[in-house]
Amino acid sequence: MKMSNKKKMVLKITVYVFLVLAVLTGVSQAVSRATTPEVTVTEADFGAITEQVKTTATLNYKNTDAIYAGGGWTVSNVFVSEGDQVEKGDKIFSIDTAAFELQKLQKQQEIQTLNNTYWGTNWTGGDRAALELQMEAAKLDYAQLLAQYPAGGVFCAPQAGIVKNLGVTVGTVFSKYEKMFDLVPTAGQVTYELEWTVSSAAMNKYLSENQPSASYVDENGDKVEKLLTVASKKQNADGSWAVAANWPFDMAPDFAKEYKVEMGTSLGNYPEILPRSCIHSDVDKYSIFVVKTRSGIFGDENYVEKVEVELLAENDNKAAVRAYDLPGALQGEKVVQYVSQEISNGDVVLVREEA
Amino acid sequence: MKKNRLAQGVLLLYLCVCACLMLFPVFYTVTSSFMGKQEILYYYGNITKGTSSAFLHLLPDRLSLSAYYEILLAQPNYLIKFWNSLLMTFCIIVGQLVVCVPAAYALAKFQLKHKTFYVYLVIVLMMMPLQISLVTNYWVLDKLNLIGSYLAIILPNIFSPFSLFLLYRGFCNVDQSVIEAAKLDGASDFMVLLQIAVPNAKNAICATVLMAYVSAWNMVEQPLLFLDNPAQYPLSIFLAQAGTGNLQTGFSSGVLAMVPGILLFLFFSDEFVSGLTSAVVVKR
Repeated sequence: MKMSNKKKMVLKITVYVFLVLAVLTGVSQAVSRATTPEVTVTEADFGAITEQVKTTATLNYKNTDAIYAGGGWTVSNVFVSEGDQVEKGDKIFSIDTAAFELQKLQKQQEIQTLNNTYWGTNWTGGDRAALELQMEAAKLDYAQLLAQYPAGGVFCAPQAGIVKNLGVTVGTVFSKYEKMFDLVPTAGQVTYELEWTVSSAAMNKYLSENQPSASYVDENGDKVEKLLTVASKKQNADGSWAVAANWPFDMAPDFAKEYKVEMGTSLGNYPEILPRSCIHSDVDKYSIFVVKTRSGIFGDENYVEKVEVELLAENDNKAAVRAYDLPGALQGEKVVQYVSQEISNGDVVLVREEA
Repeated sequence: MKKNRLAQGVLLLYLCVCACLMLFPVFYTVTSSFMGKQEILYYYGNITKGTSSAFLHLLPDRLSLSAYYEILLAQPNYLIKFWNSLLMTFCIIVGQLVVCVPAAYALAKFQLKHKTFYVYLVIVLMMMPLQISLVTNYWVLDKLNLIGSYLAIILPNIFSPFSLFLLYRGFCNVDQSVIEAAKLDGASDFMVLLQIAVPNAKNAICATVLMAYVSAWNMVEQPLLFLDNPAQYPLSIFLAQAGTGNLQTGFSSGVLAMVPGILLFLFFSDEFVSGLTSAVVVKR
């Protein structure tokens, strides 16, 4: 069938028009998808709000004797290593004698000088008595210096045990009464404890109601959690508390692992609990966005409605809320949790279905 | 002679007035589609509120393409409705041709008992308002579980008494002797229909296509009744409701809705008039 030129032209225009409209449909759909905020929703839940403190605990030996330095010592040689079992009198480390000998010589010289001055002074009374006192003080210092210094310049184990927390290496300089290492007695069973620090404000609140729990991540990446029994509480100088609990796990203590401690207290049960990410705060006002559906000429569309809420209780993850206008009305509502872009009241949104 | 000229002048004037009245809504829709949102609100805001009549404002104060941007780019829903309308209309037209062409040919050229009765039956059905059959159609579609699907719109519209009547009159004008000659040459009824009757009744078929297009493209009641989801609604529903909502996009969508009709008419304009004429003038 032969077509007239007019028909050919109209056909051509028709094809072009429909092609343009098809392209525009695709483009506008893509633009609409890109510009319409996408939201993930959740529903308010009944439950308890628990306030929690999370911290890392240190694994310690429970029955440990700390060994302190007797004087100002410089270590010249170490004979043991971490975890070694030693008997009473076993050599632990030797002390640099040069510094000690110099101190001893200086003290001897000081005593000699005082002695010479003392005998050279005329029997005139006051001055001689003062010198005598100085000399006696110097002699006492000298005796103490000798007493601090281990026999032969070698420090030996004062008792049998396992060397732990060895802070001794060649060249270490200890001042008097400084802790050098721990000796864990070998007699009887060695016990362990987890120790952590809590602020004084939180101390009574958390421990009075709930039993703390400890957890670690095992080789398979699973979290192993156990409840703790608090063994001791000790207030530190800064007011915080050092809390210790008995070793709760069935496995042997592993000092390389990280142990997390959680303590919590229930703030009560609430009918409308939402994830914290649902709550928006504006100065002292709190609000949430609720997804509503309306029917229009283009079909059903989802839009968000801003609802002002009262914050009844909260922790890091959850918050108990109540709508000002309609208490209890949030149950069953779809509450916006995450958004792809900023939204405001009345915005049309796409609700992302959870897998 | 002078009297004839005067009569012709009056007739011309009358036709011009009629043409202006016919074209005015088109012109008004096109010019208003180039108005900005604020301008539309200023001049027609009272219509949407229903508080007052609007001031007639023909030409835009400032040309704006915002309405076209809205329907062609910002919101895909308008174009989706356009394609919905196009899909339904296309299916209805094709369906009508498939059903009505053989039926009309049989009615026109076969020796049937009570043939006149059937023709009058078609005329009666054609005269019946659409609304009368809506309830029965709904009942049937509900029984077939088709409510809410596009088939609920397409199927009832495929059986169109008007198209059948138009084609019947078109086939009546096909020369019987040509058909008989073809049959003598061994052509089957189906071959005669396809190779003799259809090409000869081409104009009536084109007119039927145009009339079916107008009817299907502008339908409002059936989609409202048979479709559950407004997302499936054709553009005609939006145009019917535009006055109560977004007037600006109502005008631009109106222009968009005119495009296929204009193109179809331009394509079939030659056949359309003679096709309609064949429906009223039967060759003897």
